[in-house]
Amino acid sequence: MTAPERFILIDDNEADNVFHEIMIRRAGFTGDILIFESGAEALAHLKNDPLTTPTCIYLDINMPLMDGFEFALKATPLLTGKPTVVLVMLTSSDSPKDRERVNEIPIIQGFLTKPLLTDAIRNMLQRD
Amino acid sequence: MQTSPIPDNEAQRLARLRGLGILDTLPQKAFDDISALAQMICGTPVALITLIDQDRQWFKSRIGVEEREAPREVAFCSHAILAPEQVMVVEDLSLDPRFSNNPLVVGAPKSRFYAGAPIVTHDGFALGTVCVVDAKARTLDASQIDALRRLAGLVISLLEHEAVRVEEATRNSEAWRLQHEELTAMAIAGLDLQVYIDPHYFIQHVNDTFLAYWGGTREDVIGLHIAAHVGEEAFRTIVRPPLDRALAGEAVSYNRKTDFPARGTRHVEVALLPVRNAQGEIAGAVMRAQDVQETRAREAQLQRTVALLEQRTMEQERFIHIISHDLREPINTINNFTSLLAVDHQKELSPAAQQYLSFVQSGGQRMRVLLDDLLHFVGLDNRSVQLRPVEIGRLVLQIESDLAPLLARVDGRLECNPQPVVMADEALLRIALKNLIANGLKFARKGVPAVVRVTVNEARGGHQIHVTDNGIGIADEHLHHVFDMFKRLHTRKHFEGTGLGLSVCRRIAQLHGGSITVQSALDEGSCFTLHLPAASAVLHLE
Repeated sequence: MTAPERFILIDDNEADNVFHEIMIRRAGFTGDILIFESGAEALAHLKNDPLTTPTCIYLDINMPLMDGFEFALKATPLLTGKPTVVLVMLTSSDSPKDRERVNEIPIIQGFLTKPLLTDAIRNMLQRD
Repeated sequence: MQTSPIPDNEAQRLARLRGLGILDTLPQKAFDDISALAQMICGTPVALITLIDQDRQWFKSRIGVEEREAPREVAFCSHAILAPEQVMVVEDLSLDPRFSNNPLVVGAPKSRFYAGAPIVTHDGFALGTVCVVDAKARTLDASQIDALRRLAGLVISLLEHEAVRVEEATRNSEAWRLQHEELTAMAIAGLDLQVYIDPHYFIQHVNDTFLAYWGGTREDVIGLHIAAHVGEEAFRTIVRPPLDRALAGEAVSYNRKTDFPARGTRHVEVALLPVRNAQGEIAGAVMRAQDVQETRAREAQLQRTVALLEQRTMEQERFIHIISHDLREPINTINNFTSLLAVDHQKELSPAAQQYLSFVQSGGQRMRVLLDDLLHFVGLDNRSVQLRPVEIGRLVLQIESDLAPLLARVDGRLECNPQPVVMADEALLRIALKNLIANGLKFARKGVPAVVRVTVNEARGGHQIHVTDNGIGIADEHLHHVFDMFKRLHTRKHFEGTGLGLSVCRRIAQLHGGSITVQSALDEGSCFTLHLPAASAVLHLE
């Protein structure tokens, strides 16, 4: 497992994106942080991204139009065979239903309850 | 002339005679055959079966006599019945002082010979005789006398059998009449509309309810063709098809709305039943209509209520959804940025602003905890319990990691020796244990590091999970309402909490078919016990 050299935040809530970016920086990360406010925008980007850079994607579940699960399913063909890309779901409620769905989608590698804090990010950065 | 001697038991004898119901009945062949036999055996011109009534002798059968009866005082038989065991034979009446002055001897028909065998009931009452009379004096031999006696015996057998038969028939007809009355009363008094229709579509009978709905009187309706009653069109399209099926032997039922002249439009359930006579042929059909207007109205009302409830439930679920997502996001945002403010910009704020910020911060955090507990609580009812084997040791380790900040803050310790596996819904059990353990850590005594111990033991096929702390304990008077919703025994300043945690634990125990109990001593600690029954009890509950 490679430590991520890039973070992608996908969340329709601007305040969360700002906060998570601050937390990532505070955890000591200095590389690229890409922020998308909808699944569609993120998907459009990923299609043109070679995904060779080790990347951690924090994906919000509850988003309008395309929720996190739908995004994960649509991104599965793109992310399959890219071992350095990690997809982690973020939720504001740890509902059992969400946990079940996470288990049903193999491309999802993690599940965190907001707020995303520096400890979790440091753990991610220390993967190797 | 000696007239009409009266037997000692006359009153009972007469009662017995009348009780047989034979007097003044029409001639019957069996009795006429008996008198014919008597005549033939004895070779007399006259043979009679006589019955002695109060003032007359009445002939049940007569040969050689025109009259149906004769006055009792001139009857030879009045004398014969005085000795029930004997056949009375008078060879020459004119020589017998009892009869020498008898008008029947002195005048026409100038009778000279009489022999009469008493007709005696099984209980000894002589009712009359089988007798033969001749205008010549003569004798009978012993076999002829014996034959007369036997014929009299035959008569009493016939009479008594006949009486029994008549009595039975009367009883049956009485029973039949009663039954008929009851049936008629039932048909007339019932709340259903009933009409009896013959195979030619004519109304033969209606009950009161029928008249109450259709108006008119029995005289108006009975004998009317159904078509004349409901109208040609309705008869052809609505009434006749099912009626024909009923008249063909089929029981038919259907629902419809009918416009009744006296009651308006009503929803009715109609049953058409074929009626058969004793030979099994169809004699008509009974149409019974039950007014279900009110029932239908209530059903519709009930359906509307159910739909409303379903809608409310959906709204409630939607509401829970809003709380869980839409409300939590802004709370997170508030908490996230107040903590950034507090950490990064504390020094730029005036002392008052710092205090205000700390109020906002703790308010936001409380709001989040409250929301968590509330969600757990309302979410419980929408969940089905899924029992799986749960390793308590592993679960406690997870909870320990969840509660790491709290453990650090109170300098507490969580102890859990390897424990048996219990059957429970893991997600629910985790919530309950986390609440109980967090409570044990929070309600620590000042200066005593909190130690919470989780132990499990088996009990009656199920399990008891004990969460024991060394905290402040609970006073006896508060023990019974620690599980009540929003019940807090302490101010927020001393111990944080929403007052929902133990309600959630109790609900979770109940969802498992179990319960929760507490034992406590002030300044020593508390022990909360989750009682989880054997798995079968839970399955049964569901």
